[in-house]
Amino acid sequence: MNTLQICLWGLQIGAIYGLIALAFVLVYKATKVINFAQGSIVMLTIYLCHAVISLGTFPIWAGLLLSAGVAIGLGLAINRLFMHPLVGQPLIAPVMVTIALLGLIQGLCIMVWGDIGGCRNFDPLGISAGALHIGQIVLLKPHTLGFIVTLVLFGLCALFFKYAKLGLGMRATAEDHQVAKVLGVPVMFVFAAVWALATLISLVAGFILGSMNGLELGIWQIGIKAIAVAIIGGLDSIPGALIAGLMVGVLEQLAGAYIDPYIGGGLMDVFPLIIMCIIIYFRPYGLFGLERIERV
Amino acid sequence: MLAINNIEVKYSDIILVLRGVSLEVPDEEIVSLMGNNGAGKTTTLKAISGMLATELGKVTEGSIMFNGKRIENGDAEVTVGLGIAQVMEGRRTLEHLTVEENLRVGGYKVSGDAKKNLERVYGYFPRLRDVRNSTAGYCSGGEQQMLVIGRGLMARPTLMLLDEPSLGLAPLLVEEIFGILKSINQGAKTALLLVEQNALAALSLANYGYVMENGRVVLDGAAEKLKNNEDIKEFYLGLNEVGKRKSYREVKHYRRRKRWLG
Repeated sequence: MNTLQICLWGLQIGAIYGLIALAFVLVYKATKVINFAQGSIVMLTIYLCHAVISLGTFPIWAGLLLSAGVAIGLGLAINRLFMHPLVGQPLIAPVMVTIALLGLIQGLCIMVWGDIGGCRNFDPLGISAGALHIGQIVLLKPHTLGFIVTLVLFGLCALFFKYAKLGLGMRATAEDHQVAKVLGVPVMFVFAAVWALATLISLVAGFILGSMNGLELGIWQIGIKAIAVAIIGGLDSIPGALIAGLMVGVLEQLAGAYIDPYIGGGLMDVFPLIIMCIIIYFRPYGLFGLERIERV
Repeated sequence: MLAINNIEVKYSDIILVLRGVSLEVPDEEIVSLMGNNGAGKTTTLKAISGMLATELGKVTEGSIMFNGKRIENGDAEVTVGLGIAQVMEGRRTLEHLTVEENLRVGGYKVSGDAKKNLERVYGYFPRLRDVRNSTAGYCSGGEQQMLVIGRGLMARPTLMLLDEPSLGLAPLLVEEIFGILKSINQGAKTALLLVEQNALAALSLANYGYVMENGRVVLDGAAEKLKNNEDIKEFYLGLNEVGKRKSYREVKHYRRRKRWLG
């Protein structure tokens, strides 16, 4: 295996980390809630998507649209049931609730889908086995699709936050809830919209992950890596999530290929956390996190 | 236009902050609200704009009427739509957004031509046009104060609530900003309710004034009349009976007692 191949794979895996980190960052930016349940939400959306698609024989695009609707509904429900009642309370309360959600969703998935369990084939697009050959380099189809979709989604997000009215309202809310409210931004609506957006992005990420590796009840663990990625990028930076995701993906794959053989393996999975510790030591706000502006 | 009738405000259902406050802002007029720290001026503004709820405060008695509609304990997002814009104390810009983005957020509730709306605000504050693409958090204090006033103006209000627009600004800047406020009042036909510590500046701009102390209105009257009130002179304008600036060279001077019931 040559280094270029490893780097390309790393970029593709990293894009998925970036995508999940994006969902995490969106929620954090607008509501300041650190969503520890992010990984399990990815898992739940993908199992729900699987359930929706195997409901009947409708065209794949209809299944995907329906799944998207379900994911948005899930986000709205989480916001309404768990987050909304805690608005105005100390931030630790909703954060603890997300930890509870993490366990709750895992249990729910095991309860409902425990019998189909791990490694069930999930390949609605029929791309899991495919690969692109470019000279010596092999690119797996679901990974490549994930990479492209991620770039597109980040691009759309950037446009949305720059030009759309709701995007601007979200940024205002992220800065200062009180000021946003006094200017007429519907803060509660923004919270709901952010959760809906985050679960929708989780669905996309989950869909790609499922197409890569099939369904498994351990998918939620990717959330831990994604949180590390989000922290490296700077908790509230959207471009930071992408760049940190790609960086972590590449470094992780390189560590797996070049260091793991000497130490007997295992470094690859903890590598993002090691990078996080190092980066936070030098840059407490992460690579691209906003520092509080203080004029001297 | 705006009439506050005998309101009582409590925080957390227990801390009584306003006790029987009544005041009125007629169409297109400038009314100033003066008083010491903790007198309840800001709370009065928040009661009008509906921001009390964010601090667990509530209007428990009385009513606030705006153009014949009751708005006490309303939602701030809705109140903006009715035409009341509050400019909060302390130059609360959205720091990481640019000046122009800040202004656009101010126009969130207004449908229609945002460009024209922006141009109107730049008309009042030409300085903002020069810094339109800079990050708001790095602007100077004067620019930030202009920005938050301009941002309030973006909502096309018929009544603006201004909380201490002169706070921490150089006298020349205060004069400039008050001049602009005057032209907003005349040009845009916007009524202003001005909370100020700087009584001299406030009274020279306003048509009418109220003085608050310990959560109630203790004195009110036309601005000219208030300027000549002996108590106002002594306690807010720093003048003595003869109309001269108080001199501390004559060490022995008798502290005047307020003639109103606080």
